[in-house]
Amino acid sequence: MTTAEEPRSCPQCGAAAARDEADAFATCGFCGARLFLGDEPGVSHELLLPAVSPEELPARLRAWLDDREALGAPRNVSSKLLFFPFWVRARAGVSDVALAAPSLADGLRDFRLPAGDAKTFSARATGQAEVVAATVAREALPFADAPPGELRLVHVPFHEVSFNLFDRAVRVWIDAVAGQAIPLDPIPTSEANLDRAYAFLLFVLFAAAFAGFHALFRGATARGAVFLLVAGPLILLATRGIAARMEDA
Amino acid sequence: MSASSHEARALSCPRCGGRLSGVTASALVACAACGSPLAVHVPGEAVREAIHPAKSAAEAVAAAGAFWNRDGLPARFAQLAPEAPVLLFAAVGEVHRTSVASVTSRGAAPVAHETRDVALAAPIPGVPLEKADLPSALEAGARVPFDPAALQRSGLVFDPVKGPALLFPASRNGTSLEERLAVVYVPFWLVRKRFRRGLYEALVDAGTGRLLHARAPVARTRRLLESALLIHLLAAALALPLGGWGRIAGALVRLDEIGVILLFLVPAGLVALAAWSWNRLRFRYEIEGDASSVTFRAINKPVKTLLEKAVDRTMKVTMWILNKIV
Repeated sequence: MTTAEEPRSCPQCGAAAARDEADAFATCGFCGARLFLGDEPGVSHELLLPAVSPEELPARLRAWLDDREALGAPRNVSSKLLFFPFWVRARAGVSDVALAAPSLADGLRDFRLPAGDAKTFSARATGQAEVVAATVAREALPFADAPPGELRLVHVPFHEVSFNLFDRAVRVWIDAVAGQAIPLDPIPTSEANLDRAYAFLLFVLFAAAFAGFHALFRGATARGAVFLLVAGPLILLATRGIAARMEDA
Repeated sequence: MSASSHEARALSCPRCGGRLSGVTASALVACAACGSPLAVHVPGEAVREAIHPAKSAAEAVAAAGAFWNRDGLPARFAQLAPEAPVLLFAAVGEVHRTSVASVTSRGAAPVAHETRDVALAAPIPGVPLEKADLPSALEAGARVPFDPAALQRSGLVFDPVKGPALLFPASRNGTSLEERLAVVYVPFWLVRKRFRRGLYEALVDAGTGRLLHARAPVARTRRLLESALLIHLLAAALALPLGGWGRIAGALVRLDEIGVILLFLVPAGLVALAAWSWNRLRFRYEIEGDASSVTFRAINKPVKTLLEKAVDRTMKVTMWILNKIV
C-alpha cells in the first residue's frame, strides 16, 4: 500500500482522485479516469517544447484554409496552447505512437511525432497551458506487451485555434513544434474548380436561352425555337454529364 | 469512507480473503483471486459501469448506409466504402436520490420520495450525443463492471468532463437522505466517409442501432433543372424589349389598385428571384438529419448575401411607397 498521499483532483471532471496502489496512475473517484502520474520506474514522461509562436498562427491558418479552398475570412479567432499526450514505443530505430487520451480529431490517429526539443515533464515547464491528462491505460495500447524501458509518455504542444467561418464554429490544432494542422471539426470547404466549371456551363445555357428569347420576341420564331428547344436541352444534358463527371472525379 | 482514505484500498474479498488492489471507489469488480463478482459501495462515490454495444459495426454501417444511399447524392459518394467504424463510450452520470421535502403542510409527516436524474457527463465536440435517448439507453442496456483497459481496447473512452457537483446540483426543495451516483459508459458507433475534401459522419446508437445524426453532400446536378428554369426566366426577362415591359405595366395599371401594388412589387420580386437563384446556383449543399428527417444546408453561405440584403432594402422602399400612395 502506498504511503499517505494527498488526494488530487481529477483534471477531467474535478472530482477527487486517489493514487492507485503500487501504480503510476491515480484513479478518479467519480469518472474512473486513470491519470498517469509520470513517476513509474522505467517509463519516462517528457514534453516537447513549443517552437511555433502564437504570432505565426494567423499566417499558418490562412495558408491552411486556402489550401482547403475554404472561402471567407475567419472571424472571432482565438487560440490557446495545450499539451496532448501520446504513448511512444521506441525500439530498433522505429517509433510506434498511440493516443494517450481519447480524441476524434481527423489526422491525430496518424500523427507522426515531430522532432523537437524534449525535456522531462513538469508542471512548471507547461506554464499556463492546458495539459490533457493521459487516461489510456498501458494495457489498452496496441503495444501493451512492451517493457517499461521502451515506453515514453510524451506531451506534445498544440495551439488550438478557434474561429467562426460563416455560421460554423471551427477548431484546428496547429502542432506547436512542426506547424502541421489537424482539424477538430469539419471545415466547410468549397470546390473552386467545380464552381467555375459549373458557372461556365450555366452561363452558356443562359446565352442560348437569351438568344432564343431575343429571336422569339423579334418575330424570328424558327431561330428562337432552335435555340430554346434544341440548343438549350443539349447544353443542359452536357452540363449534367460534365458536372456529374467532375463531381465524381 | 472517502476516495483518499486507506480503508478503501485495504478491501478484501469476503469469499476468499483475496486483496482487492486498486479499488479506490464504488465499483462492480471481480475478485482477482477467486473471480467472485463483488459490489463495492463507497457512500458518496460513483459506481462505474459500462454497457457493451448490442449492435455490431456492420449493423452501424448498414444504418449509416440507409441514410447515405439516397437520391440526390453524388454517385461516387454512395459507392464509397466508409472508414472502419469507431466505437465511442460516452460517460453518462446517473443519480438516484431519496429525499424529503423541506416544506410540508402543518402536521403532515414528511414523505420520502425517490428521483432519478440522468445527464451527459462527457460532451464530445462535433458528436451530437444530445440526440440520444440516454435514460432509455441506461434502462435497456445490460450493465457490466467498468474495466478501463478492456473498454479502451474496444473503443475510445471519454471520461466525464463534469463532476457530480456540476451534473447533479443538490436539490433546493428538500433534504437528501441518500444518494447513489453512477457513471455509465454508453456505447455509440461513429461511421465516417471521406469524400473529396470533406469528412461525413453518421452517429449510431450502439444499443438500438438507431441513426442519431448523419451528414452527406448533395449532388450539384440535383438542382440542375431548377437552375435551368431560373436561367430561362432571367433570359426571358432580359430579352424582353422595352415595349414589352411597357405593355405589361399598362396591363397592370388597368387592374386598378391591385395592379398598382403588383407593379411596385415587380422590382422587389425580381430582386428576390435573383437572390433565390443565386443561393441555389452559387452554394454547395449538404443534407443532415436522422432516419426520419433531413434538412438542406448551404455551405459557406453568409448569414445574408448581398442580394438578400438588397431584397430587404427593396421591400422596405416598396412598402414605404405603397403606404404613401395606397
